[in-house]
Amino acid sequence: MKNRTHTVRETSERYVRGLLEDHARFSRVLTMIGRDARRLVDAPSDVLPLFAEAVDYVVNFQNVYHHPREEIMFSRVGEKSESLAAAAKKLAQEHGGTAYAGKELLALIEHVSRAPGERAGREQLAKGLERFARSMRSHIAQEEDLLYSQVWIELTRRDWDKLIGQAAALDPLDHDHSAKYPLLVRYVSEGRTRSDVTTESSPFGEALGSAMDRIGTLLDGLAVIDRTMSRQRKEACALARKSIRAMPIIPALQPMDSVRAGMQSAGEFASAYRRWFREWNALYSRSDTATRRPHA
Amino acid sequence: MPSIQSQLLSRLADQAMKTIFRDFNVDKARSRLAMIDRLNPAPTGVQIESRDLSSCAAEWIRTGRNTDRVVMYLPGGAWVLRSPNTHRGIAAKLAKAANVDVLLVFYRLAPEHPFPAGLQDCIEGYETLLRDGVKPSRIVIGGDSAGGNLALATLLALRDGNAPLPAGAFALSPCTDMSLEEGGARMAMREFDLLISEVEGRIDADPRLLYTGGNADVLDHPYASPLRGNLAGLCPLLLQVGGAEFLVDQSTLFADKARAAGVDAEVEVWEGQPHVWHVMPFPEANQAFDHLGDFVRRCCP
Repeated sequence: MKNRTHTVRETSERYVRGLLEDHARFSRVLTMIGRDARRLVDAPSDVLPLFAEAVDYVVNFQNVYHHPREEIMFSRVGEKSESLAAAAKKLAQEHGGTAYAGKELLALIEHVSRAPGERAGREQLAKGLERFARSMRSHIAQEEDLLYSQVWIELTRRDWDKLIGQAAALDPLDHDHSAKYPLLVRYVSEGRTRSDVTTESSPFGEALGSAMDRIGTLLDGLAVIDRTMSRQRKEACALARKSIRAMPIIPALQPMDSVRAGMQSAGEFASAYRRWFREWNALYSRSDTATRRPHA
Repeated sequence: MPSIQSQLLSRLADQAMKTIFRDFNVDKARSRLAMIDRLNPAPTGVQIESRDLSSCAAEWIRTGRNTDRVVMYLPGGAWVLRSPNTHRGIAAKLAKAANVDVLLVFYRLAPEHPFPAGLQDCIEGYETLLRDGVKPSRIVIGGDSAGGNLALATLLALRDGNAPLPAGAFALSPCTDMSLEEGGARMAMREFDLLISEVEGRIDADPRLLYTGGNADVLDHPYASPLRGNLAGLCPLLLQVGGAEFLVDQSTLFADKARAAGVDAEVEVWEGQPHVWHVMPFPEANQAFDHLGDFVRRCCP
């Protein structure tokens, strides 16, 4: 019995592992969309052909290969487990939504490639791609969380044998489809060292950004002035102190001696005053405490 | 063009950082950062569990989802500072985006525990995961800033020790070269990036020298400056760096060197973003976490 359970788990893991590897491939494409969707707005000719292949790949591969395998599994899970039935149904329905959104994107890509000068269309496409990537990420995360981790518990060996028999299609990206998706295959196999990621901007945002930059420059300028003035003040004080210390004591400068003596007296007076004030304060505190006591 | 939120909050963050690093002194900076960290609410929607290691504390940040993927995350803070709530927030976002459990390793800080104490704690964190039965193929290591430096150094140390490498690693705004000699962006960003403009050149307060125990020779060691090491044989890497920080060159140089050594390494340069913008509530931060989630999913299918 133990061996049998182990084998079932191994079989299910192999099946699920294949689906997870599909998700990993999709993730690479989703990252590409996140990095480069904004480039569609400013330089569509650089990335439009790549996006056309990417969306076509995701939509076709999902429809032909990935989603059918998932739906077979979800439907078996829904039959076996009441608690997972609702999630399985909802996620299977989302496949239809993804396919529809993908086809809309393909139509939009077609439109943009026919009218490349139309900025509004390019912006709509960039936003649509980002929305598509967000919803796919959320969908993938829910599938992995809710169903993939539970299927091996719910399905039997017989279920898995049936599932594996039904899912015999091939991954179009892994099996010599470089002729159909040459740019995407190159992107995935070669990768890129550096990607510059730009994000959505708006006229208001750009105006505000420019204002913020100016305020920032002003603040930086004020900080420099403040630092300079502070440094100069310190330097001036140091110079004055140095000059006074260096001043020779000669009879002709009797007034300076008087000033020094006066300053010394003032210093002594200040020390005496502080001492007196501390003593007085201590005394006052004691008497104050005493007077606060009722009938002391 | 960065978003409005990014432009506004970057300025506020800049002022906060200037406050922390003003008259840089570790004790003052720690108390200032603690005040700011208290303003950060603890993340919601995750469970936080203590998991102490032999010489430092660690925490599990779990979303409660069914997953066997694990990210070991090393928080930043110039090797001498720590803001736990901020990094719990990063770990929570990462856990949700990548569908993972996150082990947050609070490695020992300098100057009380200079190099290589922090690195040893990071290695111990990884070994603890392996001892707990997590397969290396299900682990991704990551960190931000000084934590990114430690994540890359940990990879080098694991490779040199013939330990099984994790499935992938990422570093957010990492310092890859402590000598700070590489890269023209250092001078270009001098006025903008307070990490160098405020503290550089002050031997008594330079966090790099506090980390290395005052020993300037250590700055060139590959475990302190991973860019100076041999990068061959590392696992897939993703570096994310802001386009408005001086560390941008360090990240691109690191990715170039890693790729030349045959490593699957990528760097994302995010236009106009400040150092570790992931901590801020920017749209760009959420997008960056989406990309990290994609990366983790690619490394651990």
